[in-house]
Amino acid sequence: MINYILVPFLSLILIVIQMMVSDIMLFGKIGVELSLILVIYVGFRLDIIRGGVLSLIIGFLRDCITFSISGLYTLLYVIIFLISMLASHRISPGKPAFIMIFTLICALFEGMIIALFYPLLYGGVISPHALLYYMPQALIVSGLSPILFRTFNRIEVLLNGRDERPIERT
Amino acid sequence: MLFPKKYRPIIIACLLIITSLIILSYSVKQQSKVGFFRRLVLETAAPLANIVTVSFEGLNNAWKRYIFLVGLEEENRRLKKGNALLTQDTIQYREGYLEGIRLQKLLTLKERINYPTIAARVIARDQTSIIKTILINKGTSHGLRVDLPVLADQGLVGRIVEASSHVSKILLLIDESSNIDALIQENRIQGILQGAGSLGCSLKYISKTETVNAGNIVISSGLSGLFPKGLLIGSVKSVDKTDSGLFQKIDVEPFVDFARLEEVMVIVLNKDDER
Repeated sequence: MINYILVPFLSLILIVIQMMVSDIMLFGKIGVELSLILVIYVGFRLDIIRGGVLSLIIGFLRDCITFSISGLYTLLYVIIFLISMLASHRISPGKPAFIMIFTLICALFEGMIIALFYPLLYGGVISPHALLYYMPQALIVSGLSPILFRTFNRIEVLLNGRDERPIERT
Repeated sequence: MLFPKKYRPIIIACLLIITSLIILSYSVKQQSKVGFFRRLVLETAAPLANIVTVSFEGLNNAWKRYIFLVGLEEENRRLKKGNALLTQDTIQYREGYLEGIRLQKLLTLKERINYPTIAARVIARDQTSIIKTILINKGTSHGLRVDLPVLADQGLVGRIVEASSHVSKILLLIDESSNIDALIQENRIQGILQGAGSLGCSLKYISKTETVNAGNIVISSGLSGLFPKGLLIGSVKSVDKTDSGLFQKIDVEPFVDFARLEEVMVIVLNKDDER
């Protein structure tokens, strides 16, 4: 039961950390979206109810903290969670190369959706530099994903009191 | 069970997407309003952000100050060089500023004096020996000649004893061979002011019957014709009447600090003025 409070709280800490990493260490030029990796991990690991609700919460927290339009990240994270879940049913998600490629695709998808949504919501035109802006972010997130998957796996083991096991659906 | 188990994931997925869309559309409509949940999240995140920021900044500082020291030596060398250049500049500016102040004083003096004057810079001094002289960078080609009086902003300096084309030698009034007709400003008693080397000057030939006090101002009397009347010379330092002779022993402290003299003003008197 405690996990239902602890996991959203830890997600909040993760989002705060990712903001600080971007702000302090990368001078706000590149976003390091650790929360996206968490959503993908959740998609690979959890069932639709627990994972879906957690993705919804993570997205909502992200929306609240980044001062963007509430709901945009919520929607995106739910979609990414569902895609991850579907992908994990068909392909074994244990391989780091797969995790990296999948994260790269998701990050680019997310960037693309944001680039499309912003002009729709605020007016104006789609930035021609959107891909250039999101590509480095996607590459960084993709590179970090195998390490973070392992870290999330360890945290999950700690929280559930189970042995560490390969990243597969529970 | 409300839905068949087979369709449960699809229904839940649809519910999740619908919930997200509801949140999104509500947020788009109420853009200016900050909802309760959003406020709650922000309030919770603020202290966390504080802690994380402090920790990150600590790490960042530690990294920059103690670990990542590549290029520090080069930067240090560059800064030292920059510092030396700036110090040099500051000294030059300060020097210019002080020179400006001194020249301003000389200009004020020039305006006070009713004679034509020529400003000159002290280029050498010989005050260590018995002879107390200085050299200035102006000479006969500038209109200077022997016996012209020389002033500083504080008072009388001496007179020209040698003049070449571009350099003149000034005999300071503290030189033992210097004798100037002077008088005490307060009671108009006249005497001869003789140089006494490093002790300053002494005012001679003033009778013991005259009253002279320490602090009295000594000025040129204008009697010899060499110095115009009324130029400030110094102040009486001490008066001694205990000597067995007819005259008092009066020590005079010149107003001019000869050790720090840098610019002077030469009064260009014509022969008629001198007479």
